[in-house]
Amino acid sequence: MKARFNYSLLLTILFLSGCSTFKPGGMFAHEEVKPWQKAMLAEERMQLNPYSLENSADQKMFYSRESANGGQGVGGGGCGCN
Amino acid sequence: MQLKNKKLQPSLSKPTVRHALTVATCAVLSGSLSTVSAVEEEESDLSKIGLSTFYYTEKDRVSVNTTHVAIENDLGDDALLRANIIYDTVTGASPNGRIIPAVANSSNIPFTSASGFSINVNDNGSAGKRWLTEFTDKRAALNLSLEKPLTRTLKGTIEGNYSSENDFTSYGAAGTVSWDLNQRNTTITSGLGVLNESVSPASGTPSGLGVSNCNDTAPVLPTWANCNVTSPRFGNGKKRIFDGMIGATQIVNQRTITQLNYSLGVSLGYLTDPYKLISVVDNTIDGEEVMILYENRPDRRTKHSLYWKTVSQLSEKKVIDFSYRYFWDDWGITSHTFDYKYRYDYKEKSFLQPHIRFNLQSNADFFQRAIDSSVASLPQYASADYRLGKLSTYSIGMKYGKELGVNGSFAVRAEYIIQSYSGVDLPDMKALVYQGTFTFKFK
Repeated sequence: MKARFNYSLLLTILFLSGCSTFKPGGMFAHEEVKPWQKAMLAEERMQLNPYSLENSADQKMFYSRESANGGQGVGGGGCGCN
Repeated sequence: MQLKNKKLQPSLSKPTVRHALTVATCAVLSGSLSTVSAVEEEESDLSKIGLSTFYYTEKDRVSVNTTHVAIENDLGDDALLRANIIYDTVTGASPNGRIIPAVANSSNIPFTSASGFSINVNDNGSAGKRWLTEFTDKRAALNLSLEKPLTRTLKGTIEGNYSSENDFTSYGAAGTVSWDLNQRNTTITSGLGVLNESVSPASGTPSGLGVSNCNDTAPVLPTWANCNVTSPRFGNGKKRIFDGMIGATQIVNQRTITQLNYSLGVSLGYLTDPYKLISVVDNTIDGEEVMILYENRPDRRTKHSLYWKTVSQLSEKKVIDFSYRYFWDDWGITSHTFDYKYRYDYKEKSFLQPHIRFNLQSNADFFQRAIDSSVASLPQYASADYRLGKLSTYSIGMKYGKELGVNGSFAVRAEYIIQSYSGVDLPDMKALVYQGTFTFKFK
């Protein structure tokens, strides 16, 4: 339980280090984005699934070791590993 | 709303007023709301090939080698044809559900294996560990998909997939439709998929909670045990899985994009693992195993998940990517999964990306370590598969990526995974993962 708490705390700190505020200038501060203001969002590193080869390997790896799976979408092949 | 960075002007990283005006003018004149086309060179899309080699190894358990080739062919007019070819080889030992005796390696008790010709089982267990079953297997998988704009704001994707193992086949299809609105700042995505799977042990599938083997005789054995009749065998175990999802992706500001999905999955058919066993133990004597049964699971499962993901650029060099998934099903399992990546571009075209992930899972209602021989009758369902038990999985890793020239990229990563269990005897599982990927874009 203690280990679980520590990991949760670590994740929370990491999370907050990146999105400490919802105020203007913060990560979730809403702004209307015009079409010509999306250059940054078009970068590969800003895609929701930029590295499909790694994502595919991770999905299968955890699918075979945990009960929970999915969430990112539909499709993908099956596996006798679970 | 997967914005694609085709070939950006070099000056975009430091926009000027003049450049912004030029881009804005182009955007208006083009009459298109496409943000990407407004900022990219008017060149045709590039096709892409990706290669991956993946190695996963658990201490004293399973090792997996995977080779993955991904090809993305640009058909023009924003249509893309994708092919994924995957080949796995798996070797090692996997927990079969039996309890670990108080004195390990004290005896080798044979049991009737459900294994097929592809699964080479040492009946004495792995290295005398009878709670592990040794096996080898190979898997080949093919996935084809076509993505195509349907209208100016609608995009469709259809895909088909097939995979084959020595004792398992799977084939299915899926379709997804994405609808851009709000000047492409919002995308609604909906999809449906169906998967048919069949498991075919060479000796057939056993009867749920049928007898595999008896280690003792009466009166130690429970009164309901009939060791003269081992489990009958049946044909292939077939199941069908239906998946649906609906989600929304929102551009929050110029640096942040976020996504929320709800998924529903219904599995029908043979959901039992024919290779998993469950011990019957005599707690009135020494708690040791007196007989072995095959596990039995319900033939229906409904799964739900809520998935939230956000990618945000903190500065020119720093991008974070985090997700959270809450999962629940009608077998009583709930799960929380957190994933966090922090990408740091420490110099031009090179980056490091630490990663942390953890998953906390509760057990299925019918999960139990073993069946007590004193029960008057067997439960309807029972499984000692650790994956249906209470567990926690922690993963920490590091990735290094580098762009090679204009169109190539290369990345390597390593992950360390530890999985801890509650309610089963198994020691923690520790695993190492290595992966190398190479992608190349071409006309």
